Amino acid sequence: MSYLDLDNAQIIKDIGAIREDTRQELLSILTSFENGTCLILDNDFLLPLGLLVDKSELKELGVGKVFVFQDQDPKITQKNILFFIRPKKEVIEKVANYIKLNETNDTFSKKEFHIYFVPHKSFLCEKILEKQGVRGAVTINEFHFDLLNLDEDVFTLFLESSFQDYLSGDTTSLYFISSAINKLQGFFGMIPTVKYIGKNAKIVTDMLVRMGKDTHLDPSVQPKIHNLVVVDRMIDLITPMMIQLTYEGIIDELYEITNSYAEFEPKIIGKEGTKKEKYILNSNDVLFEELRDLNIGFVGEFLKQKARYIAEQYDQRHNLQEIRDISNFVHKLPGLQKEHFSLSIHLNILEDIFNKTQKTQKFQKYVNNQLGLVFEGNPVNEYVEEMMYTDESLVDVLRLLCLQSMVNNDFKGKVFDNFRKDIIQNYGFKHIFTLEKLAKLGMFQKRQTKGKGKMNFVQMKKILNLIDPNFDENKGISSVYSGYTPITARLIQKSIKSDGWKEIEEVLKQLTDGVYGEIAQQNAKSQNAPSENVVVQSDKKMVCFVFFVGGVTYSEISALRLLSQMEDSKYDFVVGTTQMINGKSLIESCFENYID
Amino acid sequence: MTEKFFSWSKLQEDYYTKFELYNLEWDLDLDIFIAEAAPNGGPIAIYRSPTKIVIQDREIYKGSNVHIFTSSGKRIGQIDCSKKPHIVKMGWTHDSRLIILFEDGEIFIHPLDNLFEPEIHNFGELCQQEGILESYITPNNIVVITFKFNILIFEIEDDQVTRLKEIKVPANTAITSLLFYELNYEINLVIGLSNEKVLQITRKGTKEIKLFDSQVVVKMDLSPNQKFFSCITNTGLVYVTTENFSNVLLQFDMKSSVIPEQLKWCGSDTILLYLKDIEKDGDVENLLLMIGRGNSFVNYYYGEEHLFITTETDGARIFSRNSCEFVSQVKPCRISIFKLGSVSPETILFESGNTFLEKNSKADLKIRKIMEDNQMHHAVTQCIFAAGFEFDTNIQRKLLRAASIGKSYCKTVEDSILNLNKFEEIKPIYCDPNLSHIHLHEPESTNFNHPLSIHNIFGQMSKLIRILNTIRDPDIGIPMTLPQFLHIGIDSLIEVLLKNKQYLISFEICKFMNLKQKNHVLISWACALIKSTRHDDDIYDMIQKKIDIELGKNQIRRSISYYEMANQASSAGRKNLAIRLLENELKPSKQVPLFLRMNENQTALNKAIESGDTSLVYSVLLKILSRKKYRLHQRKKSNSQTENLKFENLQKSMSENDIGFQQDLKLFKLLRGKPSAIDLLIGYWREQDHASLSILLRGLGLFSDVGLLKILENFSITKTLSTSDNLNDPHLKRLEEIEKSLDQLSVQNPENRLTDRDVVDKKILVLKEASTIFSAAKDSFHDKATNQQIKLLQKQLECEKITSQKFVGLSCSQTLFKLVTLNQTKRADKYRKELKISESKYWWIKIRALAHVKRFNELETLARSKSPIGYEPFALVCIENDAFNQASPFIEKISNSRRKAELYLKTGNYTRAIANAKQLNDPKFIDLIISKKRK
Repeated sequence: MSYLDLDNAQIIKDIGAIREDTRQELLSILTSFENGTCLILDNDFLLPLGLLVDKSELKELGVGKVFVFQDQDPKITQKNILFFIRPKKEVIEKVANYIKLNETNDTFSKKEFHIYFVPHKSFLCEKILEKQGVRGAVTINEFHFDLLNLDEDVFTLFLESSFQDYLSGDTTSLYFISSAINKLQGFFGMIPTVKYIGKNAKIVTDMLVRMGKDTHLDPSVQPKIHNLVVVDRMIDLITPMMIQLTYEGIIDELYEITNSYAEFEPKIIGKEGTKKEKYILNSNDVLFEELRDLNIGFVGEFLKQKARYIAEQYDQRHNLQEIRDISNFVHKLPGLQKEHFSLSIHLNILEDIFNKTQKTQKFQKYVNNQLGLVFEGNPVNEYVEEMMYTDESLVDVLRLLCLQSMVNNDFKGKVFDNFRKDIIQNYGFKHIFTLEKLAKLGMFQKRQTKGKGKMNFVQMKKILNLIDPNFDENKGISSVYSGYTPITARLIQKSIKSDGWKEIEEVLKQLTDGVYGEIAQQNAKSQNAPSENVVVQSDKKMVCFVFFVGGVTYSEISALRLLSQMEDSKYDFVVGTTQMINGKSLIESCFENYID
Repeated sequence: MTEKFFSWSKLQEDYYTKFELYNLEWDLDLDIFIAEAAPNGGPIAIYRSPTKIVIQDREIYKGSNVHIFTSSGKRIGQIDCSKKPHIVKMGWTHDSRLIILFEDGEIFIHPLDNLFEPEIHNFGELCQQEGILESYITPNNIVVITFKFNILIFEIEDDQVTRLKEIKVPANTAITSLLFYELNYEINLVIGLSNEKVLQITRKGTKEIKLFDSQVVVKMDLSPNQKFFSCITNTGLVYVTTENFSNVLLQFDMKSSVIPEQLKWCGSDTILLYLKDIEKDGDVENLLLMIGRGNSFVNYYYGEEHLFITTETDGARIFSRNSCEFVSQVKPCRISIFKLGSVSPETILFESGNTFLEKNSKADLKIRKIMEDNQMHHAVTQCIFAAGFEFDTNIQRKLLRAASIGKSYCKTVEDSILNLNKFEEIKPIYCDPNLSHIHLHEPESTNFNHPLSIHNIFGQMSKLIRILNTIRDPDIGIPMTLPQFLHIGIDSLIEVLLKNKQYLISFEICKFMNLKQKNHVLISWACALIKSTRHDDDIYDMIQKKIDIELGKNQIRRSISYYEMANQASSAGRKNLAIRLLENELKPSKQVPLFLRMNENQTALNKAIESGDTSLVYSVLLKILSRKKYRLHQRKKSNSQTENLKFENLQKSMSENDIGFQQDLKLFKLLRGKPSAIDLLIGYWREQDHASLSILLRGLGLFSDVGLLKILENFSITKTLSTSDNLNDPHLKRLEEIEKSLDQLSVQNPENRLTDRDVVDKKILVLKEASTIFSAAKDSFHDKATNQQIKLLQKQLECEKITSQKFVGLSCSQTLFKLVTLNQTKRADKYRKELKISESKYWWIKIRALAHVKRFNELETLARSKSPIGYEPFALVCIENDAFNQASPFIEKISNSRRKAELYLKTGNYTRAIANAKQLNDPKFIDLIISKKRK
């Protein structure tokens, strides 16, 4: 089973070529050094590295040790020290300090420093190295690592701090996004239609179009991706504030998924010991593939049925009459066993989820408050106050406050100031910055008297048909948030319909400040080709690449998967994102790392 | 066609042809000029020999200019050397640039197209001091031997002078001849000396060549294929040896001791000698002597004409007063067609092919005969190649016509697939081994080795002939042969044409052959136009019009580099034109730096922002800021205090004459309407330069942000103050000074560089500044919050003093919590009021703290007074700390039965839970409790 048409699944395989490209580049970097190397990585880069090469390979390549950048500096015996880092000010300063500390003139223990910027070097970083007086001590290179797939239909750029960057006005990663998509076009042909929703999405699209003009794409390549929708995270900050209620989403909320891995108590995943262990969650696990997009409320029932089915299959062994039946059964057995194993793990996980969420009723209460707020507009002021009294985590508090600010047309001045005061008193003075940032994002702010023409969330809900309390397991995409349809998913659904935008023009204008649109890209030599193409392929599903600038949640991806499974869907979705996010990581990206 | 055959000279088995390429109108006596011609039919440079005295009125005979002519005698350039010392020698580089070596060791490398300034190099002091005795120029190297026999080599590509080990030469010995070449990356310098010795010098050392015993070698030359060496001695003996001097291949006695003016190879198979004043029939005439294999030779007499010979890879050009001639071996394909009495199939095809069109019936028969003999394929190929080697357009046409008729008889395409290498096995058409590697290929494809069908060869050859005929036209004057053309390739040909300023022809050739250099040619043309004296607007319009016509209005035009044109315009001082051209450039990474160089800061910044490449934006911003007039004016500390209060009226309060303010305004003007640039600058300064950032934020009216910046600083104050290295803030500098003085004080106590108290004091100092800013900005929330933080810090210091526990760094609530846990409840009560924490909140903190340290009796005491938060929280904090028994009395105080039941359930007191549940009339609830109880 796969999320995509067979032909479309081929695209993913083709993207394997990109991975291989990247891998080869890395290998050629690593093999170019003699006398042993040591890698020091940006936090962003540790996990993707694991996707490219494994430990034993690294050893063969003479890599002695791999470190992640931290404040304390590791002791290194290798001669060559390779830094794989993002071109960011904070990081480069750390590198400069490190080099200053470890530079020696002793020829015997002299180290060589090599900086590899991922994916591109930056003028500013070189300047900083110069300023710190270590420019002469390093070589500066690039490692062109950008898109990698996390799963069959999900790609990420691993720009873990992209949201934070946009917040501070650093749009460097937008440039990386455009180059990455342009690289993709090199493989799959120029994407005929590009739609953008939101300011950053427009910047990305404009750059993409400009880059497309400057790269000579092979005109003979028929476009394999038919539609690109670039979505700016900023247009929908409501959805990530919601607790994700799909199976995968809830695992992310409770255990935090990083690069498809989540950490569980060992006994849950059938291991021994006391330390938490990583368990991979992706579509290779057939059962998980079926489970991940389900609302958590349906998962128990589904697993029960599954268990019954597997038991039935096992029971067949009693009815085997002929040799052929036996051989068939034996043939099926490994798959069955695998599924059985996976079933037991998911049952364990589900039980653990119930333990975590039901026992204290805190989770339930939180979700109920949140849904009440979004569905009915019921204020949560008292509940939040209570949370602060009992010293609940600031993230949870802010998640709810932001949600209320956004769906209930912001806070009145006095209430706003009181909440701000309480937060600072309770959680510390440094959050003065957190609050500033949230206000700047429009997530938590004072009600403006002027903004009368503004459409409120109540109208938006209606026009976009966001709320469906009677959601169903099998139909509708609102099940991913127990009755709330993610705004992004709805907008994308409308984007791929012809004239779909017209129905929701008002909302779009409101969400994006009028920054949305569509661009037809055409390759110089095949101007007539795309339209023909669309007609010919009408019976086959087309591929729509959706790129989220600033991150996407697991539940939003689930919503898109459900969307493509709907009967009248003409599209398979492939999702690209700067990074995976959830409400927690989004709020935390507004925190400053200062010690009070 | 027999007349053709009769014009050939036979040297042993080989035929040679000498014919006039152009009739020259330059009317020059080459005897009084020193000449040097570029290879492959390239131009010839001449200058008047300083040693010859001739009185002539013509301007060209006067002065010391270098004149450049095409092979057809058209003057295409002139280099003024009147202010220079004497010219020692000239030569040409591979890409048709003229090398001039002056007496003082200076080297000029002059591009003919004037688009670039000539390169100037120098041999350096040693050469200047010792003077140049002899010199030799090859396309890559310039060699000089000084009067003290020091040898210096200048390598053009590497742009460096190497000095060889000096050679020891007995006194009064002169150098009679000199040759330099590179073979297998080894330099070889061969010197003929007047003491009858010949030396070969390499990097390894010096070797004496003893082949020419007791003779002085007066001239020498190396064949173009670098396989053969030839020389002539003072006794009139001509030698040809292998390049390593191991074998003498030929020894020719001239029976005269006249030293020839020139000894030159003609291709790599014969040598040419130019001798002056040779007796002939009682008269004296100038002689061109050609010596071929087996001592065969031909004499060409020229009367009083003076000659200049220049070697080509497949022959030689001979310049004289009135003509430019070409000497070369006749290719076998032409011999077999044109030889007297030939009955070869190609001859038959050639002859009958042309009569065929006149509907001669015999012609058809003859052609059929060739078919029957299975020779058509061969005959056609021979005709095609013969046409390629032909200069006479009439004969070319006839040959191609014959081939075209013949090829239509070639049966199928498969039959006629031809691999050139195989074809040569059947019958070598090239005698010259040097040419056997040449493949005829389609210029646009990179795969040279794929076999071509005979039809393709015909088509290709026709195209090549067209190109060759075009450039051979006297107006262009490049008499390039087919082998030369195939040798250098079409790309180099385009370069040569561009150097000769033949833009139109180059462009037409590019179009004709569908070459990628089309854009390059257009750019070169445009650059030349920019160098002209036309008006800016005209030039711009002409360029745009041309590009519109040639490249279409949008799509492909994208790939043309306007940057190069703009750069040319900029260096030509046409700034306006440069800007207009640069506007069209599509690559921001090229465009932006040039705008910046031209001081177009606004545009550079706009384009950089448009590109989305933040690295580019930063490069522009930092570059602009490094310019003095944009640098922000750092005001003195004393000002900034008062300034804080006045910034609302910043503009008014600053006098118009304040230079700093004017400068700041410039920057603000530049940044106006560019939020993304401002954001980037803010981001950069946040890390690097807080003082500038403050000024910027004020200028933008973001006064609260200035205050927040101060708060940021507050956080960076730590015991070590390490981060302040990056901050240029004068205030922080002052703090550093404090720190230094503290350091000095704390020498006795080195462990504690800065006490906690000092840190807090500093923090408070900075926070107070922030507060001032906030209050002036009427930002009451931040002002209050800051003041509260100051108060908190003060209280925390007190706490630390009393409890000797760490408090700084905690929030308000945490501070109170900790105080309660440390049995400082009274103090906590006091602080609660001062820190303005609401009563209900404080109650929560208190009970949580008490439960946390399990002081339940205090909790009970507290519960006796009236609680503003009810009693449920008391129960909850107990339950949270697993004190179920202690929770019960508090649960009892709750009035809501359901809540009571739920809480009892949590404590495990099922009896009480059920009792309370019973009052609710909710059987389901009771069931739930019972089921829990069973578990």
